[in-house]
Amino acid sequence: MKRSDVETGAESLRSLFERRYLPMVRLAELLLGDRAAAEDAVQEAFARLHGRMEGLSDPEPYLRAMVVNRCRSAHRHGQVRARYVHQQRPEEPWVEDAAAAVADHNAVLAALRRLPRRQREVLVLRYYLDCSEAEIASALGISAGSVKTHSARGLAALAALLGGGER
Amino acid sequence: MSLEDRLRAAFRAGEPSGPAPEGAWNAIEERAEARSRRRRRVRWGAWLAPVIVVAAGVPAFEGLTPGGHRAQVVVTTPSPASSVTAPAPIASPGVPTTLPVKSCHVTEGVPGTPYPAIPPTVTAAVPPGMSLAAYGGPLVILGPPGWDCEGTLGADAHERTVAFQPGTSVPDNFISQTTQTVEAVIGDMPSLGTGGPVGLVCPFFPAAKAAETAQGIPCPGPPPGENVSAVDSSRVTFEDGPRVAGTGIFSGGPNPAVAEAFFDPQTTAAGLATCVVAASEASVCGPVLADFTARYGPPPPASVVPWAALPLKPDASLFQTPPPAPASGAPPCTAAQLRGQAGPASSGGTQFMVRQITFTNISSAPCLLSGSPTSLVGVRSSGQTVDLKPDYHLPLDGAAAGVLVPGAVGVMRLGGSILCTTPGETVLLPGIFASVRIGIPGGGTVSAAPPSGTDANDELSFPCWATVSPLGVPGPVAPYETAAFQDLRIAISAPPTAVAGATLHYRVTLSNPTDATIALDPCPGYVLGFGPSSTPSAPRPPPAPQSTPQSTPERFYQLNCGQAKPIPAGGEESFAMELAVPPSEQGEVTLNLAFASTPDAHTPPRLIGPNMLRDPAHLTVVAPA
Repeated sequence: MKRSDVETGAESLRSLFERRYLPMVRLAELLLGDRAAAEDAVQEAFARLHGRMEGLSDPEPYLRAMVVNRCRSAHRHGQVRARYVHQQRPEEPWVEDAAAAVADHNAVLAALRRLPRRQREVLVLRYYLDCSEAEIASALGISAGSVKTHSARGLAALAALLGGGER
Repeated sequence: MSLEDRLRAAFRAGEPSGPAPEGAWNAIEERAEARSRRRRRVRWGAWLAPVIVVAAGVPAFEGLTPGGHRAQVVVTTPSPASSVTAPAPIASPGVPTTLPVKSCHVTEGVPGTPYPAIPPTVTAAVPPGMSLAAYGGPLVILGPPGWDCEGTLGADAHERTVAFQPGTSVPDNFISQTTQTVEAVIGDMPSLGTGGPVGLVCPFFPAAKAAETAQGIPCPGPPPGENVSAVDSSRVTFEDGPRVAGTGIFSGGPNPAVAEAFFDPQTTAAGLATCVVAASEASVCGPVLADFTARYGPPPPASVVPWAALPLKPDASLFQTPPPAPASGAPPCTAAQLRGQAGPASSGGTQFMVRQITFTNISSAPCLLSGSPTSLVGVRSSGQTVDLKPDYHLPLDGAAAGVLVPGAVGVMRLGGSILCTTPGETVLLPGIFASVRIGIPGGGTVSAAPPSGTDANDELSFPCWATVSPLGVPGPVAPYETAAFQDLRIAISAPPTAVAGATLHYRVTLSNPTDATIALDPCPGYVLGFGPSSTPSAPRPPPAPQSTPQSTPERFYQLNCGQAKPIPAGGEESFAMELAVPPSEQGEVTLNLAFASTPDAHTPPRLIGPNMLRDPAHLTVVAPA
């Protein structure tokens, strides 16, 4: 999308979908641990944006916040089962490096799953979507200071859970 | 690779690639179209009822379409009985009675919208001596016999049935308040979803409020003057007194509005039944409202053992061996008399570890082992030292100050969290040590290290805070040490928010994963407390009392075992619990509970059992309104 489109609010839902659907699915999957539930949450978020794009100069933060909210809702309603660990398998298991990398990814994601929800959200938004603290604060409805706190605690907890030793 | 890079790599490794799937776009369009259809129906339904008043501060219900069946204006004389308080709408025991259902005219937001057929009869609990009738369309409600009734079926499936005094009418304000004199019973159930039912009851249920807030919909608290009391976690009753324009439908007039609301966070189903009658007639409201909730609300919670504040008291009968010898006559132990060793870490959870430090009297003279360690220093394998600055919050775990005869072993407990929890900042104590040096109250320091051959997972690790107990001599083993209740799993169910300075009501459920019935005998004590958010660690009990070892810290309680049943294999028992939220508490916290031992005269209660510290409840403490 062109920058000017963002500034004028001219981006269509279709172009937003093409640009951000898959990243949002991954975001939701990281929060939910379930691809199907993630797709459901993201599709619902997009559907809710339908007809509302005109009033949004930049729909992406709104979309991001809705996806996070839909994920929380799905969690509350018990619609997901954590399936992090089994979702990623090395495509070439005979390649040792690839297998080791996947094992590490699985370990990281499994540890992530053990974090409190808010810490998990902050870390995913920060290290997957590369959101700024202000953007994370906006998406989660918390202060920038809380973002820092949750981020630091989340990293510390991950380090401990992963046996990363001293930090 | 840094942890941040590992995170990025793990996050991106599973990222879908390629163009966004067309099938997903089709699904989105279908969902959007379905939502659009619903909105069109809503607007059309609203056209039937051009007057929709949105009460101040009450979110508009998406799709509230009351229909346009207007009735006559009420002209009854305002009741002077304003000072009479309406009764709490809890039904007195009723007799199951079959009542014919009067079929009400139903106005449909979308003509032809199907709804469940109105049954010819219903069974309701009617208190002896009371006469009630049933009115149906589309909801079935009870009311005084001989009343008129109307029903509304909104385009979005919002349902409402109103029974009212013949010759009078009901206002066409289908949101809430009126200044008219109304005598009516109103059953109201919006369609599911945020903004509708959730908004209807959000002032009363934290989960509903959170759901609304998450969607950006404001949820003010109950209106001023509204007297709210919780029935259980999913039901509240409230009363809007005369002239109090509150949440009750048609409140604000001369007659009090008594209501019962329910909310099921799992389905977001909510309902509100309101009974607006002259105070002198208010006895009808209890069974009427209870019937509505029983008919449409979530099932009542399983039987819950009621809360009882039972401070944990010493129970000498539990102790079959005498307590340790009185701590007198011997000089304080010095470091030169003691050899220290660190035991393995034991933990009920993954984030808080406790280990026992033992002190063997290697001298030829008895000495008094007592008091708290004067210092705690971590020693790295390189020899570098770190002052761990422990707090002194760990109980002594079945030991007490006492005389350590030559060859005998004294103890101290050493705990710490692997998560850093200092509010407002993260403090990382540089974590892994080969040994610790413990300051002995009698003088000197004793070094304690894990046994040689300890694997890397059992090193002395204190990334965050460290906490220590006093030093002492192990006491007698009490029956609770091997009590079967230690096999029970503990789960806490608490609302997502609590108010600082107020009493928090929550529930603890003990489930029995074993193949045998577990009786709560001896009755487990427990300690509970708040911890910082993301710290499912030990509830930090107060310092073990030193000067008055007979006293019991206030936060140690005993479960209300007297009213609990033995828990069968695979079964569970729930306990209503209360906790005074400290006025200074705020922000996100965890609420935890662990079994505690029953103290004897020499030993304070302590945390016991392998299931402690699991699954804390996470909640946010907010300032009082």
